[in-house]
Amino acid sequence: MYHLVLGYVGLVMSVWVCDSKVMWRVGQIGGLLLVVPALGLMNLNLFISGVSGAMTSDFMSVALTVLSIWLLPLMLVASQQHMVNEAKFYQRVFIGCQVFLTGGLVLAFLASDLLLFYIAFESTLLPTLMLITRWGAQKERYQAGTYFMFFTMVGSLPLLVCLLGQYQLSGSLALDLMFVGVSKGEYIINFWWLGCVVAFLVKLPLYGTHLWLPKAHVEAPIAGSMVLAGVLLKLGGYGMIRVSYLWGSSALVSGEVILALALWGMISMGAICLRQTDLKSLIAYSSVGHMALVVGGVMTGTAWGYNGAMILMIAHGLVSSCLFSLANSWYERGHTRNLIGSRGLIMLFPLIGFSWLISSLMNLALPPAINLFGELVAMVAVYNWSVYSVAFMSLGAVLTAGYSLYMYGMSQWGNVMKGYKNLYIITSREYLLGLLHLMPAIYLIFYLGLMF
Amino acid sequence: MSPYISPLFGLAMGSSVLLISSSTHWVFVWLGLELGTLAFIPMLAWWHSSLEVEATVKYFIIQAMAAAVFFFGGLVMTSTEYISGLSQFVGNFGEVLIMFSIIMKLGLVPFHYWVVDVVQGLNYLPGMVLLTWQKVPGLMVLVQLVSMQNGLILLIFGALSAFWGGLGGLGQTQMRKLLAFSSIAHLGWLVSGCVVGTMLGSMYFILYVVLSIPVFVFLYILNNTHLNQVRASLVSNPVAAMVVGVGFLSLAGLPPFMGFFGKWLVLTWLLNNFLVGGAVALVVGALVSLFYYLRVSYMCMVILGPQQIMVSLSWRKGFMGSLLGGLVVLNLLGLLLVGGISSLSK
Repeated sequence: MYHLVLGYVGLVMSVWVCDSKVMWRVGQIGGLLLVVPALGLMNLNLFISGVSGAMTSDFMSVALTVLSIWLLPLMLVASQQHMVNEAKFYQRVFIGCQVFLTGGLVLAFLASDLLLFYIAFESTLLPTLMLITRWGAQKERYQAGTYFMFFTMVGSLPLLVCLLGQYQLSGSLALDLMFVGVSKGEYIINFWWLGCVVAFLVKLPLYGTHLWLPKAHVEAPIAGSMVLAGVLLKLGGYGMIRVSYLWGSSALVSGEVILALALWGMISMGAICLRQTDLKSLIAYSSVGHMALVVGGVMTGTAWGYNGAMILMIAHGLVSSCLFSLANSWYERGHTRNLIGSRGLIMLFPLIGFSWLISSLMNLALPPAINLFGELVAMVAVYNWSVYSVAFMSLGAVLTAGYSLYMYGMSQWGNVMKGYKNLYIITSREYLLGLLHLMPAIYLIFYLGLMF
Repeated sequence: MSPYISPLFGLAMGSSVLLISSSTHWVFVWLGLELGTLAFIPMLAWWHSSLEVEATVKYFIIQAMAAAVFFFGGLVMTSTEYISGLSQFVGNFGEVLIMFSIIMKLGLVPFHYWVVDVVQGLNYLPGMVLLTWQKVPGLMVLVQLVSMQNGLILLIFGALSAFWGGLGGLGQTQMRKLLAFSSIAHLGWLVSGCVVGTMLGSMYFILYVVLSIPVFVFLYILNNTHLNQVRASLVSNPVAAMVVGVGFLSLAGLPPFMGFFGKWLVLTWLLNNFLVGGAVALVVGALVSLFYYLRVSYMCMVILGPQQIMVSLSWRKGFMGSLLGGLVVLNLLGLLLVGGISSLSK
């Protein structure tokens, strides 16, 4: 697996020194080539299937690694249009930022030591901050970046303390071992567990700590939004699953509070989405709602919960990233994200309306999409925890369906807005983006066994 | 002042450290401390401007008072057994006095108020020597004083310094004041490391020196004293501004930069000794100070007006170019380096 990370180091260096005429192609094609070794890691074993020094790969790691590697060429393809007028040097830094970010993500997912995971987790913060704050379009990007950094750091510094405490008690932080440092009855375990988990809850984001997400998504350029929604949120879910190995069943009681908050988050985020006017903000809040079910699944501590969370994460990563790139396609032409100002798109751009349709339908968890299977599996786990959660989850699912249809209907149907000039035709680049996002999602319907 | 006299002062400062480290009687330790201070004073007031002279005088008064307290503490230590009521917490009263004098010399909370004003008044290079080299004598004495009894006081002061350094820098836009507060915060981490062990303290100190010297030097080269000037120099000398930005993020302790390693070490060793409260307090302080580090790095890396374009990249060549490249690489990859070295030594 070192070859994968070294591949990203090499890609950063290639992007840095190559000719400015080919730097976009180098990034895109290099990123695409690096999918091949990642796919080579995919092994259908449930347990740890590969170990190589500081890195290990089991089904969770590999699924998320392939997702993050897959998203790199997509991010570069999506952002090459709006970066056309920037200075060549800054374009190069932009591409380098994204490649570095993906390299850090791969390191995080493949890390076999929790401390290496922590370091890689933190080092993805800075490139994302650069993407949001440096290349965002409005003046609110400064506050968005600050919120992003501080929300995450407030969670992750206690995580460092708790991980090092765990290291002191058990002598190792390797993921191959299952260990519990503190015995079950002591009270300190609640704070310890909370310290470990808050970082990931902020990243996921859980409903109470989600304030940074809409800001960051709205202000970020398309590459930032894609990587945030596609992979960075999943870092939180993955981290929570890994850290829960440390506790076993001793922290399930504390997890119930978080579960309850997550269930409420599903409903409130669904309701908020129905009232959004900003397209990107709508997709951002829908991310919070979907991730709430991931939190719910993980906090049950059951195998179904973890599996459901994993499937949900992959599915949401692909679909949410697709929605953001579609919203960006419109934004580049109409320069608006307002739902009122972006009506009747299916009349203007019918073929990309197919991608809009499929991704909206997958977002609302229509069978046979994998989103549905993820939700179903996670819901079963949460139902096992408490019967009454059915009320919350069903209401949440209905609201999810509601706002997905609302988003599709408001943007695609209705009268075309007058006054837009120069709405150039959808380029094959954008068709490719939609295809490359949705094809893996559709293929996974037929081979869900890859993720179970 | 004649430039030929500065080697004499440098020699005196160097021999002061040698004196402190090799003497067995406390009078000679005091002598070494005083020698170091006195030799440094003329170098502070080199340019004779009123601001610098004022800062020098402030520095002198504080250091002289600290030296007097040191001497008194030494006398108390060697006189009769003076036991105070607090001796189970802080040990021998003489030791306490000496420790407080060292705290005053270093600039740790609660005797840290002078650091900000002094560093603001001085130019960058004397300020850099003040914040890096002049800590060495104080630290040498401190690590010998730390014991089970006064470790708690030092830890409290260290945590308070980390917090105070964070809070104090929040409103600052003058770069030198920011660096002073950052120095107070780092000193808090450093002293907490010293509580645990001498090796940790020295490692953190070396890390801090290696990280902060480029920042000072490049701010001096760019001649930026205010945050707005840093932002403006992004256009004229972008990579120098980048070194400052990366350097500040490294000082903030963010992975993947090398500055994270210091925090990692100190937290690991604090938790190894079950000093959880200290670890949590230090982390809170680091979080507060992150705000101004991030603001400076925003100025360097993130903010660009729509009219600004890149000037020709003459910085890529020559000695300066390779120095710049080397420093950025050091910050970025240093974590791998020191992590590897530390894992080899286990």
